[in-house]
Amino acid sequence: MNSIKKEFDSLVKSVEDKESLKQLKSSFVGKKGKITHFFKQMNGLPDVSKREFGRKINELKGYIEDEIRKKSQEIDKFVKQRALEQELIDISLPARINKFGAVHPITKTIIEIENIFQSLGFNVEIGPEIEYDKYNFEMLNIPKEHPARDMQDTFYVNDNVLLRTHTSPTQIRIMKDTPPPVMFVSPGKVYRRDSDITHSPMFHQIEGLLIDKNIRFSDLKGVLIQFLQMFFGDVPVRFRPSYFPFTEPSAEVDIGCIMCKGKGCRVCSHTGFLEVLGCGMVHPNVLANVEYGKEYNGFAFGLGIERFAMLKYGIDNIKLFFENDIRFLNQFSYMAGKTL
Amino acid sequence: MIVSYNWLKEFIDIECSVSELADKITMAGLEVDSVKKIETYDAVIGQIAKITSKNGLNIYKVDTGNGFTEIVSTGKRLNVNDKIAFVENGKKFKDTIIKSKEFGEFKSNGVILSAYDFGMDAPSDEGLVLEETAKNGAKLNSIDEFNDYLIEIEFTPNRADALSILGVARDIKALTKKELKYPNKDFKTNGKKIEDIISAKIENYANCPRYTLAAVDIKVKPSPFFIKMRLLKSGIRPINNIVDITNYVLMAFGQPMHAFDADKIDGSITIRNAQIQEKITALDSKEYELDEDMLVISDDKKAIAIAGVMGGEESSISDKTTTILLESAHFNPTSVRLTARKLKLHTEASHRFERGVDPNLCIDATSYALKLLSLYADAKIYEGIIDLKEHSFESKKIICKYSGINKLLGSNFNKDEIFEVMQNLQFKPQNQDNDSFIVYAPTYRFDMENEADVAEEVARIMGYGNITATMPVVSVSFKEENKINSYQKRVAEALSYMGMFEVINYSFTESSRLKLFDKDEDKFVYLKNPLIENQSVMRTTIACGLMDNLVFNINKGAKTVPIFEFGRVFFKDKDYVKESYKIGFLMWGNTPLNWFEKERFYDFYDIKGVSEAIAGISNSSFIYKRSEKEFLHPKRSADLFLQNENLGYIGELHPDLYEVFGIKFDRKKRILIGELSAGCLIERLNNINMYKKIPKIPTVTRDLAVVADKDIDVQDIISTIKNNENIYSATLFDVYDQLKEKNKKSLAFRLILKNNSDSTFKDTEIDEIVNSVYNEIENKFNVKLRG
Ligand SMILES: [Zn+2]
Repeated sequence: MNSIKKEFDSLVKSVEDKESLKQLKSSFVGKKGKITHFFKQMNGLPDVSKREFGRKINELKGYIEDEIRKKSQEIDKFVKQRALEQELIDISLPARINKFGAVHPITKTIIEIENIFQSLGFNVEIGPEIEYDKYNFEMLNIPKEHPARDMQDTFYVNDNVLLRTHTSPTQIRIMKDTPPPVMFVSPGKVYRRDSDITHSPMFHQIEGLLIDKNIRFSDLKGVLIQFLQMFFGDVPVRFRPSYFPFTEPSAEVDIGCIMCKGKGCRVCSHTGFLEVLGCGMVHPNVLANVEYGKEYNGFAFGLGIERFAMLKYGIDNIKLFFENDIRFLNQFSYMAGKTL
Repeated sequence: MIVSYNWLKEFIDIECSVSELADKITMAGLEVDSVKKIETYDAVIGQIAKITSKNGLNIYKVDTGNGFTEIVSTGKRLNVNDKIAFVENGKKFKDTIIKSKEFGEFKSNGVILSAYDFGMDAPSDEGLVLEETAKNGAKLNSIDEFNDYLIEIEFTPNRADALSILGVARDIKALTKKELKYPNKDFKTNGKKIEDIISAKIENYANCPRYTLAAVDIKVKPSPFFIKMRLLKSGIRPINNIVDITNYVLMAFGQPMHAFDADKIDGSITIRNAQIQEKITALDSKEYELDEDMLVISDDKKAIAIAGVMGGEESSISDKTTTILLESAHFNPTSVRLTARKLKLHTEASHRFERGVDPNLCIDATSYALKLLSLYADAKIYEGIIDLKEHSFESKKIICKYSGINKLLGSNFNKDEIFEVMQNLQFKPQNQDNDSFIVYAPTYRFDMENEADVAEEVARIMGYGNITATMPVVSVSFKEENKINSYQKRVAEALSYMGMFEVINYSFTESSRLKLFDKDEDKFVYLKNPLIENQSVMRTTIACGLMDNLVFNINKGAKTVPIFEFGRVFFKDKDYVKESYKIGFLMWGNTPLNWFEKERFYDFYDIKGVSEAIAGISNSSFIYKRSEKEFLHPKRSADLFLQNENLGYIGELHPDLYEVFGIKFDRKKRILIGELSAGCLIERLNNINMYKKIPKIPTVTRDLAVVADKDIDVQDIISTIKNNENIYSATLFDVYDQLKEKNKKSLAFRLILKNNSDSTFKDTEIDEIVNSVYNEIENKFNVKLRG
């Protein structure tokens, strides 16, 4: 009997598939198997020995059946595994997804800036691109022949109608139609009669206005510092006196140069600072022009989207925004960096 | 304006370094663009001992203080005894080592420097003559004027008061609390009276509120070295002592002055309006035609100067001038500005007058000029100064509140601090009661009107950085979203995810291009003053820009150009302009190359995919009807309707138009273009579809394949199928048009059946429904079941 067990052990080890296992099983415990054969031999034995012999054979039979079952499970597992292995694919193949398509970096930047201001409670308003002189200049405290008009060379449609030179006329339009308080940003295209390496005759600005009771210059600082640090990261921000006819006091806002971290480089003309926006407390004349009561005041600010986009993405030429070279636009794709 | 640091120090003591100073005044509103030290490198002082001239060359024997050397120059001849700056061979100047140079038989041992070599506006061939006291052999920077910094300041238009050395010094005084040092203005007169030589009157006091004249006998000669140098540093070319002194006073005090040759004046002087088409040749030797809104200085016969802008050539100072009339006046800023703009003549004088020159400065400036003339022009000054004005010029009184200033700024400046700032700015503050105070803004501060202006003065001198940032407390509530803005974002995101690139084009274009896409020329909006001709008309269509982008990208080697733009278009509307929004889209070239799909070229159905996506954004569906637009392919284009409104078109560009854009027509690579008015799509942005109940029983689908005539629009068949009350949806999943019967196409639809009851369909019911669908389209479109 021991030799049968040994024989079985060595045979079962070498079995690799279900069919051989089945044969092995029948050659031991099948109708003509070796174990069955033992049972038949048992008939001739005395009762005592018969019982003892029977128990041993049953033990052996049980053992063999267990081993066969285990082996069968092992083979199942192995077969499944081999089947999976044969399904190997190259996971490095490019995805089955369109690699194309991008939102223009200007739109992208506008959306980002709007989202920040919306999170600070500002609404979004849109104004016309072709404006009356009255809204673009006069009601913003820039009368005809004011030297400040030199700062903005203007395209005219006729004597009273022009392409807006800044988004500020939206301030007038909203305030004329809305009683205070108001709080909004207004993005859009603006036009100046100027074209060279650093100027484009059309570019984009975003205007901001907050009018309420008890608004202070310090609030303007607070809001803009918050915004600039949300957009550019943790940069130093400084406010410098400046001049805009429609604000008083007025300020120019600089951030620590993001290229050189304030050490001084070509981008910041070795000053360590980058001028990024203009702002101020809304001029009393402007508030009077829209017939807002004296108890109301507030602040306004304006910034150039192209400048923000150029600083954020390290773009060095404003013309790139309007050439619309696919190789440029593709860099702003949601699949940016993949080849065309 | 460029300010010499040395000159500035004559007006005020400065204790900090020049870069600290630059930082201080920048943070107070005078933005310093750059600070440059004047570098002299290895330049030393020498003196011309002897000059030999030959063949247009000057061979100078130069006393180097330590012997003599020879320097050859092709430049303007200097004089014996002139002190000069030179660099010897082998020494350094700027980035170069001076090398020995041979001029025919002569060898030069160095070079003589000109003011141009120091970056100043002067002729490069004119050796700079130094002051007589300069020491031969000493380093050039031993002369004070070469040991200086040039501070370039960019002034905002409101700060006319600071457009001079004195003006900058005044801000420094307010910042550092040092006292100003005014230059000595004492001069002696000569006994002769001004009335004996000239009289003057003003006809237009509105545009010339003040006019002063002094008369002086002078000798015209070159200016002393320091005046020349300071003018050069300020970007002004020295001419002669008289002109230079007027410019020197302009830079020092900010008062433009003009000197007339008294002998060239006929009779008396009148400040009057020009006559129509009156002509004058100005100092720049150009003739200007004036109009009656312009103010001139005139003698009895003719205009001798354009008031506040430029003097006339005829009465200007020449070598022969012996007596001058020295003008110092105050002109109306708007009048000067209009004149300068109309004549396109912008000068140092007009720049200042149009921003505002202190009306109380005239006499001080004249006195200083007379003092300088007596020192450097052998002046004999006539007694008396003509001073014409209707009234005196008072300081502006502004009443302020300490609390008001702190409230506007959000600051906590105490009263004493604010009072002191006002004092240092020479605003003469006076406390009224516990909170109010009065200030008198000096007459050079044209920008002071109200408390806000005063608050800015306080803030800029105290420092914007000393106001602590706060967050506003607001009572504004959130309004509904701006639909245009939201729509733009949705379109940009949706189309870019579809594989399109957003582009942004100029809003102006060329009218000939525009006419290709829009025949309604009467509605075009033209610019009065375009920069260039092909940017002279406002776009009425996005298509032009997209075509430009296509051409640009093809020229850059692009193989695939799928682009779109959302933007405004402009139409004439009486005296004004109507703006509306359009979405334009264009596809050309190969579909993006990849490993899982066969490469093909964009066709009509790709561009239709874009218009369908756009419809989807607004929860709308378009009706497509064949288009008759001339710029589109007659058989491959459609007009798009939403309800009954025509929103635009899609289709292939007409093959005849490719050439206009310089693109070779390629049968395979068609240009697909589309454009939609966005107005009602924006309105429908928030349209929603109400939820429809999902049937409880499982979906039953059946396929139906038919053969139809080629000219039948599938859209019609599909809508007929969908109209069947038992059909939930019908999807076209196969089209085959290469059948043996040339005029036929085979179509296959997958139908999802709608079960209007709650029990499962029986097979017979299903067959009945599919049959009824088939019968309907067979009747209507004469289709046959595919065998
Ligand atoms: Zn930098």
